[in-house]
Amino acid sequence: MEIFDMKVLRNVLVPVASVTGSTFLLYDSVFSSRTEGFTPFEMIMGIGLLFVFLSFTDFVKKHESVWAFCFTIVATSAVNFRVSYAFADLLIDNVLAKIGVIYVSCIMLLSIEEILVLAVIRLIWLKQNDKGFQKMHLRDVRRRERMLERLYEKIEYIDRKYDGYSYRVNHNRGPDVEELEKYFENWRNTKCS
Amino acid sequence: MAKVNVKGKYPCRANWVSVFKKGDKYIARDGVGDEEYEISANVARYLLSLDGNTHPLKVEGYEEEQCARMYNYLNRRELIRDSGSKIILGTSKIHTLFIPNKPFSKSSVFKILNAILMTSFLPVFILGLYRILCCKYSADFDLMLPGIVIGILLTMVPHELGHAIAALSYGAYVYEFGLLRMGLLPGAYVMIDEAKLKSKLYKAQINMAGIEVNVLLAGICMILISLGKDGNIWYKCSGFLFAVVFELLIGILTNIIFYKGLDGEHTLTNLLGVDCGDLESCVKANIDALFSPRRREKYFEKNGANGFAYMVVGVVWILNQTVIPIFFAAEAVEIFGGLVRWIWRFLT
Repeated sequence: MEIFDMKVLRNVLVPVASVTGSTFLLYDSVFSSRTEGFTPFEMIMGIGLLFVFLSFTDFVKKHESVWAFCFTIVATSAVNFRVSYAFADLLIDNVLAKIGVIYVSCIMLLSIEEILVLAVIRLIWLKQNDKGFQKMHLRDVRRRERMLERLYEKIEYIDRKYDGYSYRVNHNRGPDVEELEKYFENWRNTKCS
Repeated sequence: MAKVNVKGKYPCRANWVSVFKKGDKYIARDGVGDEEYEISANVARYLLSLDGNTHPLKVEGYEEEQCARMYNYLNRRELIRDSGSKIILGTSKIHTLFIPNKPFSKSSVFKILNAILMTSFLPVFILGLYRILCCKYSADFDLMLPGIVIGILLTMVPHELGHAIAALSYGAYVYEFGLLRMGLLPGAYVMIDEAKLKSKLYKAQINMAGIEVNVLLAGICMILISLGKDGNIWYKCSGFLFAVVFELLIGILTNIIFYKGLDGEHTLTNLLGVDCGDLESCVKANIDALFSPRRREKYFEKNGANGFAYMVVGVVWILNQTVIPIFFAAEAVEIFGGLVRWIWRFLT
């Protein structure tokens, strides 16, 4: 059967095993029940599993950064939550405030980890296919440009009709232009998003 | 291109705008907004003649009506800046402090400084943290208040200088440096154009350099605190240094979040490979595909399993954009409530 093909198995087993292993190792390195204190060896192993995942999984090829981002979110979630909880528990009594602080400190820790991990990944895998974001973005930009051009034509038409030559030193936007700018902002927010 | 006099009597061409010829077309490039406008030869000549000393309606070779029309056109595209060093840009009031003669530099000093910054910030911070947690020292908390005031400047100004050093070392353009005010919040800024850089790592380093400087300064301050012994200068300054470290750490942690407009978001955007630096529209376009079965099918057909990874990035980004403002608003209400309670108790 195709499902037992080695390639398929590898692409399922390696991600699952590396993510769960990394999550456990990273958590255990900081909050181990067996040893007291921080164990750097487990942390190195946990980070090493990320590279195992990126090297041995087929669908990750040329998209290492994005997958490393996803991997880091899952693998560090447990340890980030525990660290944030310990921090919030130490400082705050209110439950709602505690939830907020836990969430924000989780995000802070995650951002630091992501930046460190992604910088290393970019250094190792220099050539990556970044078109997943790029194509979407360019299409969106072109659409927005077309809309802007149409709007500028409209503004210029109104400008010519009513107050084409308004100019004041140190206050160079005439009142009707300001209104149009507001209109432009609303228009952009509603149509482009 | 002739240098403009931003402190002149009249509005001038914005110093971050360059005009050049591409084939038979003239292009006005807004280096800060990263936008290019195709303009006619007439408008290009008019824009170049706005140097701050020329009245925008009395440019040689043009009639007044023609000048007004071109002025309105250019001003609407933010290619012209008001006269004086204090101007309003978007929602913030900016005060230009320094405009370099050339927006780029080939000097190796910046490369060396950037290399030192990149290699030293983490070891110095770890050493500082180790010394402050594990070594014996004595501290005096007398100078906390001046530390808080000066700490604000020490957090912002070197932060922006870090961005500028990294940008100049990689050959990006630095247009100006100054102070700004958004509502009541003070800040500093540096205008950088990194569009011509191709390496995403370079761009990421430019965006990260500010935080790296803050981390380095925090590390140095912590090492100095740990040198405090009864009566010596570091003992006397320890309160001041503690306040500075506290503000630097707050600055680092708030700036590194994956939130729109912050350095952390810019850095992650570069590292994820979004070349144009606008993750928002990419995320919206990706998430947009989820809500229509036809588009969803097409999307996953094109991107395969990687489409899932892009979606995860999008979901995390959107979560951050929604929850973080709520948290900070709640914190502001809490602080304001505390302040009101304190004043009420003080008065009664």
